Amino acid sequence: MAEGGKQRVSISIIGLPESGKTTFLAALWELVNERRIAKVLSFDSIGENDHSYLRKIVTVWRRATEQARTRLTGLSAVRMNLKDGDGNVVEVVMPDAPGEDFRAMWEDRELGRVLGESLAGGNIMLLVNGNKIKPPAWVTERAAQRRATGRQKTQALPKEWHPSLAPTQVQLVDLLQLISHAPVGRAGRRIVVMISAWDKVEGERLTPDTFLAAKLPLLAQYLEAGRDGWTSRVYGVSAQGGEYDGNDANSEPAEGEGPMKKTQKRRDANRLREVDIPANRIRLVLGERESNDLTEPLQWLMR
Amino acid sequence: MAQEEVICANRDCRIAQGGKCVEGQDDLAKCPYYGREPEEIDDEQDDDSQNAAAAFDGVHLPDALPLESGRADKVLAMLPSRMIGVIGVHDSGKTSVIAGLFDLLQLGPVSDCTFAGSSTLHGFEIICHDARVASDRDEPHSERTKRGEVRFYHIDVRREGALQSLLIADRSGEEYEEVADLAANAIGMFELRRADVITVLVDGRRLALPSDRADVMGAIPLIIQGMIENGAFLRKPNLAIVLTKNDAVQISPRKDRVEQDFRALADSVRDAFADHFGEFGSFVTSASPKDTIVVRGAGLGEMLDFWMKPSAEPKGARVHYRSGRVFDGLAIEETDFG
Repeated sequence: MAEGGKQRVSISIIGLPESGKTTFLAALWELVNERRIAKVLSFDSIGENDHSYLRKIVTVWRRATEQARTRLTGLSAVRMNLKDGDGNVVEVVMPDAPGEDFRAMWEDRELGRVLGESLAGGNIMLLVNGNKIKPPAWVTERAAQRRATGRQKTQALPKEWHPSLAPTQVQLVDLLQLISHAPVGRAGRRIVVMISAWDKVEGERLTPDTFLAAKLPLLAQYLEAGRDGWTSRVYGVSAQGGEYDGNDANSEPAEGEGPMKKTQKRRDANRLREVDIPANRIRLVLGERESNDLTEPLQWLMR
Repeated sequence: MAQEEVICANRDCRIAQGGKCVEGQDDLAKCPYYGREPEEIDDEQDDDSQNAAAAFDGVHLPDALPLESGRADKVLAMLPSRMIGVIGVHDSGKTSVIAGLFDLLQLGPVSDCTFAGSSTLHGFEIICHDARVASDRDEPHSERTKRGEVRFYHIDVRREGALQSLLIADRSGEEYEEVADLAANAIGMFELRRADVITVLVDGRRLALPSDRADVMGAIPLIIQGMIENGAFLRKPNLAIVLTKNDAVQISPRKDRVEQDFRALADSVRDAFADHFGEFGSFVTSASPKDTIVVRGAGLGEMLDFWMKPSAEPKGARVHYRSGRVFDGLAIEETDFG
């Protein structure tokens, strides 16, 4: 939508809890404001946008500390005025919604009105934590493994089915299906699948595309089959560059959760704080190519 | 003469408003809901749910459970589709075959079929659960399909460049068994009349038991006969005969005998009912093995390939319009109107 010569683009960042959505946004904001690093899109102006949320999350990011869970802060409207190499200005609107809201779509079959409106149009960036993928696993094969290693199964009563037990790929396929059809959204959009925590999974020597096919084959098939008209690209991202210190706010017990997590000092955090230009902590992988330009997938999603 | 009030126990049916029977029955006497009062709804519970609904500011998303016939109609209308009827007595492995196929797709494309979507993901996950580690079970288990209305599991696939829907009908094994008792029990099984492929399951574990072997061999032809007598297969669907639980067969000392029995059963069904079906295929499967002696999902890929194979054109004339339901667009003329 054009407004006074300025193009407005809406990109929805979606993903299950702890997929790295807020960290990605913080790293992006750091990068677009870093004049010493060349990138496809850079900061243009503050304009009428309220950047308090971005400033808050980027401060946490610079300290090499984990972001507070977005569940604690709720849906935040993020707007950035960016310009490309030709001086064209684009206002990018990227709401940062709690992962719990996306989980509720799968588990409770409910979608809040405000988030629903933001998912109705525009292109999609799907964050998937590469280090927290829950694959399907079967009783028979697990029992055979235990027999081979001489381990005993812990005695437990059979567990009733709950949607939260479903493999990650099933939940993500459902999420993309829901936003491709009425009453939520529409088909025929672009999507970037962003495999976060790439530094933790790159040891497997897979490209982001092959990682998706190997670790999330149902999702990879769904995108490839093209029933819902997705045009996709797969990136690996390490928006932190390594392990950050824990965030005390996340240690507070939430309703229905277990005991308090202890805040952990990550050994990487001090190393990352020593990097001269903080934005250089960022790593982005597409195929065999690596850069730190998080605005490149953004530009691809603007087409 | 006073007009008799039209009532129907199915709250979704609009026949009282001059609509059609949602069950697709032309002869309303055969409809299990027509002429009966709907069951009372608990007012208190209704109030609670209405209050909760009023407080929620957002969209209620479609559930992802197996489809009742109305929603299956809509799926059928969206893409070229294949309807699969799966017939098996109770505990013959019907749910495991359906779940096993979905589990196999979770590992990658199956037999040139790339997963393209599904509107029944909760349904699949529920039936997969008891074989998964998340269930905390010591060995895989499969919940018996409850009696009631037929439900459909839905998968869209891309195969040979084209998108297609697969609808797999699920009905309790007991209801299929009752067709052998009284052939008329098959009348309401509209999913079989519309099926492109009928899949008959033969329980490998029971076939390996000397005490059950004769019953397994004897029951299946009777069920098929009952269905044929009620016009269940007028479209001449393809017929797949599937040995389930091959893991139990492989560890049985009677393994060779079971394989011989299965071949004999498949041959006799093919010979006896050749006029009522298109192509025949037989498959040996282990959908949810309890032992790693066989590969998980073995045989299901070949079965899926057979399911997707186009059927021969039915000999009967197509009915273009009867009740307005998409299902009926797929049915063939079943009676001689002349």
